[in-house]
Amino acid sequence: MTPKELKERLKEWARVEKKKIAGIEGTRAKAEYIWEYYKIWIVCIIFFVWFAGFAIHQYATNRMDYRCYIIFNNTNADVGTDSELWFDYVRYAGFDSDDGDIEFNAQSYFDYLKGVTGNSYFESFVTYADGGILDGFVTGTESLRALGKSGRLLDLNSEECASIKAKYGDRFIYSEPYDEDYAGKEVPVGIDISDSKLVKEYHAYVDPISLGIGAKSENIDAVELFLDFILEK
Amino acid sequence: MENARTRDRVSKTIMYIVLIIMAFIMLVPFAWMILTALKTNQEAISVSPFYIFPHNGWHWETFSEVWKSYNFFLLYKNTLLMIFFRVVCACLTATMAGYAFGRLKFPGKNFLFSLVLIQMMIPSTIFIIPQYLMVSGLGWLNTCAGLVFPGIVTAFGTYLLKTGYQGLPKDLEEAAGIDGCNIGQKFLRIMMPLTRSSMVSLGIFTALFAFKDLMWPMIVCTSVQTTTLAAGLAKAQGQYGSNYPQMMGAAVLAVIPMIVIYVIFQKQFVEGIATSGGKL
Amino acid sequence: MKEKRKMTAKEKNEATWGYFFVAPTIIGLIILNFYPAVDTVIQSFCKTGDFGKGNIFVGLANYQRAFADPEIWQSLLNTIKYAIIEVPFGVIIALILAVFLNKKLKGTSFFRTVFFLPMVCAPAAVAMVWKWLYNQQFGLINNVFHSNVGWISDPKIAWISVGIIGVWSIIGYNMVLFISGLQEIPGDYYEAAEIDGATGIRQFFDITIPLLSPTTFFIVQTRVIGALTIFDLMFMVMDKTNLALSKVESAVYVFYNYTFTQGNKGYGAAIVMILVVFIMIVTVIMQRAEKRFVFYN
Repeated sequence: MTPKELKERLKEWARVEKKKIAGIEGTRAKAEYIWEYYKIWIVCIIFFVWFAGFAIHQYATNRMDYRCYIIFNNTNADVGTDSELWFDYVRYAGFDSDDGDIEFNAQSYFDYLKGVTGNSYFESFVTYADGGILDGFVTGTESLRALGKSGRLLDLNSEECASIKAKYGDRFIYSEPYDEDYAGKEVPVGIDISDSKLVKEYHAYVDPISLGIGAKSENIDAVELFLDFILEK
Repeated sequence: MENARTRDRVSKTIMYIVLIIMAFIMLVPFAWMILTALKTNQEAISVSPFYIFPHNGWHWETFSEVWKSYNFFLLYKNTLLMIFFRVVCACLTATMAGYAFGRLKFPGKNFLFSLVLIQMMIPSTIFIIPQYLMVSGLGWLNTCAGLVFPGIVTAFGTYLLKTGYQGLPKDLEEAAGIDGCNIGQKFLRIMMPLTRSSMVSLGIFTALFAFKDLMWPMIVCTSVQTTTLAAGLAKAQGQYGSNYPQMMGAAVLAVIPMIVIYVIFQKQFVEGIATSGGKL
Repeated sequence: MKEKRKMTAKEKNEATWGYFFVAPTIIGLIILNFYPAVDTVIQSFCKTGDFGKGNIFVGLANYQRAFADPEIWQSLLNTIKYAIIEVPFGVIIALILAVFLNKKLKGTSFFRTVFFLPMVCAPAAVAMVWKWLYNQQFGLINNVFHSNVGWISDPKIAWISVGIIGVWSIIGYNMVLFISGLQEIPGDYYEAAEIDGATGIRQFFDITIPLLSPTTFFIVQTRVIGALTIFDLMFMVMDKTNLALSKVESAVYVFYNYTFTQGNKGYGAAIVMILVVFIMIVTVIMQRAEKRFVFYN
């Protein structure tokens, strides 16, 4: 059927249907007739219209452009979003909720040293890291050092974090990556924060901990502010 | 007559024996799950001595503890919603595509079908990151739509239904064609209803996979309001280290709706037996 | 002349309907699955720069390394060995059970639910039970048979043990499909055979198997693909420190190791590509076999 033929057929059908409906007595009977024959179409159309509305609404309001996304690994303390730590940080950094979301994820439990195969939390971490969403990652120092070998944490010698290097270079944790290009060379992948407020004030951790920055992070300044916040005297 | 009846009885007995043995083998982990939930944590993880049954009393209160520590109604609701939409989408898209691949001729059919097959060969871990970025870009994070997203189309379902449609007799279509049906009507009124058992299987598998899926709900639904059973209960494993009785108690409670869905669905199978002579 | 034009219009009509029906699925597959897959193919020719650098093209370096790596070949062999156990046994046992449950026995509903249970069990529970069963010192199997076999620690037999777990967990799934396939066989065939005096076993081989061949082929085909891409089973039952791991780990397990754990996405992508090509070859062979062994109406 060519498009023209299709149009003709539809017009013809519409005409016949309209006549039929006009021929039925009473609005109630008309409604019953329409429902009887076209209920599937009606339901489908309603669903699609609702869905289109939903999709547009979501697109307009819910797209997450995180201003700062930090994962706190292996902690049982309440340091996630809307926690005390979160509020204090947001206040310190002077962020406005209009700037985009600030998300602290404390639901992460994996130890790279003990093996992470099949650990869904680790897979989450990889998704966020490779997707460019992860900004900061806090976990035990040795664990972070091992994790740094995979190249998912930012090389702290790079230009983007020059200011971090200037301030906290003495706290750097070094690691030798898997990548053959770096054979023998050690790369700073984390910043030791064992004496920070996270341990002392918020009691989120006990053992030596470090913070790493996501390799594809676009909010390194936010992480720097976080570092300033927890390391300030 | 006597021979036939004894032969019948013997074969029935053999079947029952085999079925009961297999049933016992299949039941072991499930029974173990329930028994572990009733033990103390020490008993649960001790390897020697190994406890099959709880020794220090049967701790039924584990179940009520677990029930209280999670909002099971919310988790059930989210999970069931996700399963419902995934099943509907999968059945719709797969039955249409299955019919086309199984009964219609069009250029490029074999190539397109090979795409379907190839999708099954690729380990699904590859899809997660790009799909996450898509969902995130659409603004569907923490929504039911985001949860359903990867399940909208199913290569497996398409293949399953193609096989189902191919098994139907050819004359049906010709008869309908003579009656003046176009292909769309043939599909809707005649062919599709006949593949009911395949669709039921597809529904069961889609529901099962959606139910067990842990990775996807975990990264898409970070808020407790929208997360599913699998992801919500994973916290038990992570947060409390390994409190096995709690873990297993949660797992048992989570499994119940799945079993109910399965029992309901597979009654559809039973109806098939009752109508003798298949579909004609 | 008129005859030819009529056929073409009808064929065009059929083709239009055909495209319309496959459009949602194909478009969905392209967006959801093939776009990432193409990404992976590209990655296999690159070295994903660490520390945030993008993909760096290295040509066939990843493939050359993969072909020379004995670990890769061993994992392919492991995967094939696993498939050799899981597919035939899983299919045959499930078939027999499905046939039993398709008859008018009492309690078929109960049995069907029980056989389905392994599929809904928490993977953690399944892993723990089997680890306990197989434990060399305290495991049930060794204690019952008074043996001292390292079921999952002996590299020579660990793959069989894992294969057995695979069969066990897939029976319920195959059985559901077989039951649905058995439903499609009209009862009249069996009635006619009864009248002719054929026994149950004869009926099975002469009626059930041929008419069930489409379903059987489907199950075998999908399980071959599924078994060759197995992954969770390996890490659930065997720890990272298990010596037998290298003789059991599947190709996807190795891929996961390189891509996820080590972050070497290029190499992992190359491994996946090799696996997919291998599966494609196997599938093509099977599709040829379909024409010979499967009977459609």
